[in-house]
Amino acid sequence: MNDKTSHAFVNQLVVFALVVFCFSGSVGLGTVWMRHQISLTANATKTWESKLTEVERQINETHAAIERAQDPAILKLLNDQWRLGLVAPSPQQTSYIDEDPVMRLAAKHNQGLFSDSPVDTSISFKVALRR
Amino acid sequence: MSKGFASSYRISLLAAGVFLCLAGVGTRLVFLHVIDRGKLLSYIEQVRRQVIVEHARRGAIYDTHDHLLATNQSMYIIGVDPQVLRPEDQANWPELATLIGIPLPKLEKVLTTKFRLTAPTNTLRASPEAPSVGLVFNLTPNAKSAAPTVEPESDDREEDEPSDGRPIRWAKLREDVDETTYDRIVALGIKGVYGNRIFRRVYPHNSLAAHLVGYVNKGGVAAAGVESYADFYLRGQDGWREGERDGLRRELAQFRTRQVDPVDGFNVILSTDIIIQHMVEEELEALAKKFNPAKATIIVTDARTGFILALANYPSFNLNEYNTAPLAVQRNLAITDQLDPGSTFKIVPASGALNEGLVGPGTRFDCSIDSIEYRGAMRRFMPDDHPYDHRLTVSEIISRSSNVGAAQLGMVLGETRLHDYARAFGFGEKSGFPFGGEISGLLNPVSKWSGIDITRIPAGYSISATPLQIHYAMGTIASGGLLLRPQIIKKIRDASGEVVYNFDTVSRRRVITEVTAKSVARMLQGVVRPGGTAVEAAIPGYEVAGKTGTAQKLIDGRYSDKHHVGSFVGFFPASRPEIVISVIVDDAKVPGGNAYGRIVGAPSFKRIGEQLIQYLDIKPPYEAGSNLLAMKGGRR
Repeated sequence: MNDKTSHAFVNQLVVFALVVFCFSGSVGLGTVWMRHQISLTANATKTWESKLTEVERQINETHAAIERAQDPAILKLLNDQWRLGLVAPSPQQTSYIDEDPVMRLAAKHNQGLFSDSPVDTSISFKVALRR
Repeated sequence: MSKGFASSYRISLLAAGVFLCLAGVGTRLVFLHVIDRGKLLSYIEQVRRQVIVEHARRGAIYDTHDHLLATNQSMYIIGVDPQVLRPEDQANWPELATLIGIPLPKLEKVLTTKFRLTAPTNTLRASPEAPSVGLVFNLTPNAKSAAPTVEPESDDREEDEPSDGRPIRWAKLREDVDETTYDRIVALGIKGVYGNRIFRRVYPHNSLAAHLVGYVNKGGVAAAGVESYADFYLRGQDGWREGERDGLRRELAQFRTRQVDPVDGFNVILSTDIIIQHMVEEELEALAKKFNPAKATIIVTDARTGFILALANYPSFNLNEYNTAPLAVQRNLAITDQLDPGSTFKIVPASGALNEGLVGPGTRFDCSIDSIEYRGAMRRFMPDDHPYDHRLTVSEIISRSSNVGAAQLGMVLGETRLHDYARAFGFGEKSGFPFGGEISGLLNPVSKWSGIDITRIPAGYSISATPLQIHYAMGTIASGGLLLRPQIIKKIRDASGEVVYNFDTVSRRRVITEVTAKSVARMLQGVVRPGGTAVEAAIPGYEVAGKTGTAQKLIDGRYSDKHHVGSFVGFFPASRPEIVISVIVDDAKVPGGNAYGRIVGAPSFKRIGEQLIQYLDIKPPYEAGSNLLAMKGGRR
């Protein structure tokens, strides 16, 4: 093997080694970058999952709080405290009818409006008397 | 050709160096990945590998209108590491005491106790003069000397450490701190005070339907009621995931290898209605205030399906504080306690005799006699309260609750058939109510009956039944002769709201014909009419059918004249039954009188019935109207 051939081989070897280093370095760096991205994505997903769970938990707890506030005993207490006087109608206060209740109530409300029954038509005016 | 950028000698040297390095690295890699692989992997497995259990969310319990009866809530167990407390945080201790709701001196005692107290016997044995061992030192920053203090309550401490003066690293302050309070505690910035989140079962309606809903104890075990019965549906299935953790024990999400998601528990929807339940519990409260009974039970069911709309017992308890309630109070009296049904049982001989065609509603019996010959022997009747001036019809025997008449109906029927009808009505056997602790009551076989049992059993003595059995026996008349199974769960839904299972009406057996049931229902209407035993139960405008019961209590082997179980069991509208209501009051104290069912049970039946008419829009059967109109509004 002469010098020229040996130098050429060494040069090629060095170039090849450099190319291999660069390539494997790039692959390595790429892998690290990719794994870092995977890690970021996985952790972000984990965070979102935990947030989702947290929100679901808060929704459930809000439901529980609403239910507590709607407890019949609490509502009755507030009815008394605020003196609302709300009570359910008794059977004696209830009447069962065959017709449409809206029409019946309307008829009851408008009774006399269109002279379908006698109405008081007398009108009085205050008259200022002159002296 | 050029020599390149270096001489061949240097290039060769560099190349050799590089290859040597690579060879070194390669050799090391072979060692790491091949030769020492097993050892290193096991080490990594041990240090980094972890399996995290993901707990399934326990399903919720709802009433029939989706009102929440049981759910989960996160809370914090607040504790302190006394070793890391800082003097500058002491100014915040009073506010901490206020937030966690314990007196400041008690809090200070816990915060300043830094070492575990040694057992006195060991201390004395080791060295009576030993100054440090066995003493608890006050190491607060302001303390001038190491003054011994009192050890805080032992249950607030770690239990697995020996009591040898070791430093305390965790002392529990409170275990049910809500999230808002916890945030305020964290905002105080007291170093060493921290909390661990836990999930607890909470019951938004406190004591409402306590005996039905049941509870899950602090150990996570479903202990009673629907919680226990439907635990299979409610509990769900825990998931898990395998992965790695970093040096700070945080999960490395990117290294998750296997994952099984948790399956949340199903939601259970009951047939109970919280509004009706509230009406019933309010009535029980009024009964308790008025009569101070030993116990009482009210049951409301749908006459057509047998589903329970409300069931309440007195006394009751708060589900969120179950640990403070005695076990006797936690019992569901409707299924765990038995009592003599008294006159409410008279529907059995009457129905039996009618069903067999042995008598008709108008068949008359002489109820003024005090004894009668039966199977060759004279049998003495249980006396009636009032003498009768005429022979009573079967309808009158029921409406006036004649013991003599009921006994004669029993005799007409005969022991065997009376026993069989009693069994068919559900006496002496479990009702199939899904909760644990149900008893079957007492109905002896005919072979064990004494000579007078044929006069006692038809009147509801020498037999014991649970309130639920009595209720469903009456329900048999209301349902047209079918004995229905008591049911409390209406449907099961998954977390997304899809119905997984629907519970339907279950008929246990046909006891009497529909015609007989209608006939008995008509006779039972006489009970609430003038001349009947419970006009107090009548609801104007509605056909009410029912039966009073007043049974003397067996005390020390003798029937007491002073202690009674008063009851009223009935349904309405009689011709088209919709609701069955039972009011059973044990040992009520009635000033100047006895606790007859007419006095303690019938008025409650009426009050609950009137409220249900409005709430459930139950129309009177003989009015054709279909629209409900409140004439004077809902205010008074």
